[in-house]
This record gives sequence, structure tokens and C-alpha cells, in this order.
Amino acid sequence: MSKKLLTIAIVLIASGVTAWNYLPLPNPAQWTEAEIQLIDSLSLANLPLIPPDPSNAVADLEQAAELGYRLFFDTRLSSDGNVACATCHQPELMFTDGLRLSMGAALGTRNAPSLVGIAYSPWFYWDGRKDSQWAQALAPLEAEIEHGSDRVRLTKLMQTDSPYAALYQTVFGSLPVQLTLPESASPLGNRTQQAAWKAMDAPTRRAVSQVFANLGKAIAAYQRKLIPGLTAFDTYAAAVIANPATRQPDSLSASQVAGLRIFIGKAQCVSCHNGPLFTNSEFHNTGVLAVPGQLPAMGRYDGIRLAREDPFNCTGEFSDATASDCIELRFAADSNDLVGAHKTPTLRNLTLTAPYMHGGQIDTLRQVLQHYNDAPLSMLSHNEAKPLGLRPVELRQLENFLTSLTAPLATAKRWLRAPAD
Amino acid sequence: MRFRSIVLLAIILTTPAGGVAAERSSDYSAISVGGLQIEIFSTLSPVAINQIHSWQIRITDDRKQIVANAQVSVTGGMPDHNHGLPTQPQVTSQLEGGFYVLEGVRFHMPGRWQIIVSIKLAGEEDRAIIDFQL
Repeated sequence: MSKKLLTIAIVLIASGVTAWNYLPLPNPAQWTEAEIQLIDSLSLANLPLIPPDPSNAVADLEQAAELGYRLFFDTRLSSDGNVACATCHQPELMFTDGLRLSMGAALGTRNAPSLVGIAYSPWFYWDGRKDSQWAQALAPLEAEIEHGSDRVRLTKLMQTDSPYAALYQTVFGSLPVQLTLPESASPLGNRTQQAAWKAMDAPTRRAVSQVFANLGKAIAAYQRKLIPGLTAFDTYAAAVIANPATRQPDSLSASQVAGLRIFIGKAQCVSCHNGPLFTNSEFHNTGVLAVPGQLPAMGRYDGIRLAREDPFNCTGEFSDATASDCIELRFAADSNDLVGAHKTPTLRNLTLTAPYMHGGQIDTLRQVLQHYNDAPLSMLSHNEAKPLGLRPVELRQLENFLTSLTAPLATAKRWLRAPAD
Repeated sequence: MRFRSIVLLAIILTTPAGGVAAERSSDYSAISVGGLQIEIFSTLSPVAINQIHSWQIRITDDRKQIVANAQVSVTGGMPDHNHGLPTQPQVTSQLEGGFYVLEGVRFHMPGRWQIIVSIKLAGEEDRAIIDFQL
């Protein structure tokens, strides 16, 4: 008799635990006012106009975008002729590459972030070491493991390729053609390139760096066109705003609606993944392990210092801004709590942008959610996130919700494929 | 006629000179440890996340007199998340009417924020803590 009771008790407990872990609770009948406000704040309908970039006078010029578009897909910008911006930022993968670490001329040290909507960010790179899109676009061109080219070779390409020369002159006026240039030179290159750079006179160096900066400005003008499109979540948000009693129109499943509630509530994902782009464009330490084979990264702590020293920053001689325009750089924080902090990425289109984190440390969305549910200790400084205590069914609902954030871009299709000629 | 003049005079007397703050009530306020009244007038009102903007800070003493020429600095953060502000706002100028202009303010997360206004005047140090929810 007692054995029978014990068996019943065990079965009941096991069923209870299983139900707790895996059975969803019904969604409440209506969203609260605070929840509706948060849903509205995430809706693409509230994405403001693209912010101006005072440091880039051609940021919104159509012909600059045309030049940038051609440069973006052109492998001639690399030393071995095999690498273009589009090698690691592929349109079909929302301008990422599907790799843990990007592969340019050699294996890189970071995961390629999506470029979609990034024009809204004041900072670029995972550690925010660049303060404009154009300054960012320049760095890979001269990085040995990416394009591996240099500003002299790129200037020569502009001079010798007549379609480029014509477009360049349309956008920027004259292209310096009377320069006596070595084959290859850069202040950032190898020893030979640096020596060649030093041998050039100051006006020539400046003229070359100006052409180089202008190429970045054109690439940035193109990248400003990469804007996310309306997703199932946005359709749902519009329905909820129109009628707060809306529970589950066709656009989202019951599980996704439950996941949205967790996203803005219990899991507090919305703390950092906020606004219509699901990112605050700021820097946080969330206890992600170091990239295998690398020391834990200092993140934004180093990034802001590099941004201040960058000759191509907002206050530099190649910027079109006045000093009073450069408020982000002027007032940026540089405190110790930025050690190990990396930029919050957008969550839009994230089903197409795996692997995740700054070094592609986490392969799947499910593993990312498990990481935040556990909130492990950080290898450097402290993890800002705290364990979430989500049940397996809640993690699944959250994951389901996140899949509702993918949609084709709002960008005209012609910008999303390589030029035909 | 006399009534009108009195009304006009009253308006002139109660309107602080200069600044966006003149026409409206403060966005946040607090009393410092030393008893000063601190009022915050934001150029972005209501204050919203992810937008860099500036504040004007008015400091008055217990006799409602403006406290001018103090050294004012601002720090802060989110106590629940154990991190500071995403920017380093700085007082860059002082306007007529005792308004200190604080530039470079941004909040990047919804939730509870704490701002600490430090005031140095004639060798004395004072501070006020402003708590608010975004």
C-alpha cells in the first residue's frame, strides 16, 4: 500500500516538474499601459529619420552612395584582389558573413556585425573605436588581415579607373592627379609602407589621406541606405497600439506573444535592446567568454581611447564637422565600468546573423538565451546582467518571439546586389 | 489699469531671465544635503532614452536666492545595474538667471536612474541626489 502511495507521489511530482518546465501559461487578456508603451517604443513605425552626420558632407548625396555602392562590392580594393567589404558583409545575410570570425586576407579577430540600421549609432565596431561610419569604413581597407591595401594604392585606383575617377570628381570635385606616388605607402602599414609614407612630402600625404577619407565617406553614404523592413512584430505592434485588447492577430503566434511579454518584462531584454532598432547602441559587459585563443577584450574601455586618438574622428582634419558638432566624442564616458563592455547589437534580422557576440562565441539563439539565463561571472570586470530564472518553456517562447524580427530590408533591391558591370 | 501693472510686475518678478526653463516647471528637482533647491530643466522634455541632450540646472538657497558662480558637476548611473552614465556630462557655461548649462546628457536604458549633483561654493561642498524612472 505504502509502495503504491510512493509511486503515485513520484508520478505526481514528476508530472508537476515537467508541467512547470514545459507547459505555457495562458497569455493575459490584455497588455498593461506600461507594456503597450514599451511595445510601441520598439516598433519600426517609431524609427526617426536617419540622423545627419555633420562629419560627412556627402552622407546623403545620391552620387556618393552610388560611388560607395561600387566600392563596397569591389574586390580591387584589396591587395590580393579577393576581398571586398561585401566579403564579410553579405547582403543575403543582412550584411554579415555567417562565420564566427571573419575571413578577409587572413582570419580576423571579430565577428562581422550587421550593417543594417547602423547609421543610427554614434559609435562603430564592437568596442566603439570609431565615431563615424566613414572613419570605420577606412580601417579594414588598410588592415593587413582584411583588405590589406593602403591609401596610396587606393588613390591610384581612383586615378586610373575612369568610371571611378568620373564618379569621384562628380561627388568631391577635383581628384589630385599630379601626385608623384610610390607603389604602396601608409602610416599604418608594414615597415616598407611606413618608410615610403615618410618619404612623401606633407602636401602629398595630406592629398592622399583626403582621397582615402573621401572613399570612406562614399561607402558610408551607401551604408546609410541599409534600413530594416517591417516585420511580423511591427505588424503586431501596430495592431496593439490601434486596439490594446488585441491578443494574437495572424502576425504573431501565442508563443511569440508570450515571448514578447518576457522580452519586455521578466527577462528585461529591453533594458539594452531598446528602441525601434532593438539596441541602445551603447556598451555593456554581459559576461561573454573571451574569444578562444585571445585574451579577454578590454572592449569600450580601450575603444573610446582609440576613438579619441583617431586622425579620422569627428574633430580631425578630414572631418566636415565643426567642433561643436562632435558632442558624442566630447562627452563620451571612459570609466572603469567600460572594461570588457561591447556594443549592444540590433536584434532585427537576427535569425540571419548567427553566430552571435563580438567573437562569434555563441552559435545559436537558444545558447544565447541560455547564456543570459545563467548570467555567468565575467572574465574581466563584472557582468551587468543577472540570472533570469526563466523556465525552459519561457526560453522557447522568447526564442520564438525573436524569430518575428526578421524581414526583407526597406532598401531598394538594386543596392542589395553587386553591380552588374 | 493699476491691477494690470501689478500683474505685469508680478510676471516680470517671477520669470527667471534667460534659458528654456523660463516658461515651464522643472523636469526634476531635489533638495541638497545643505538645503539648496536644485531644479533640472531638460532641453529634451520629457526626458527620453538614447538621445544626447543638455540640461539647465538652477540652484536656489532657502531664501529663494539664486546661487551663482558655484562649481557644479554631475555624475550618476543605474544603481540596480551597477553601472554609471554612458556619457560624462559637463557644465560648460552659466546663463543669466543662475542656469548652469550641462551638456552631453544621455540615458541608454529604461529603469531607475540616479543623478548626483555636486556643488562647490566658497570652499564648501554640497550634493543632491535625484532619483527618477525612465
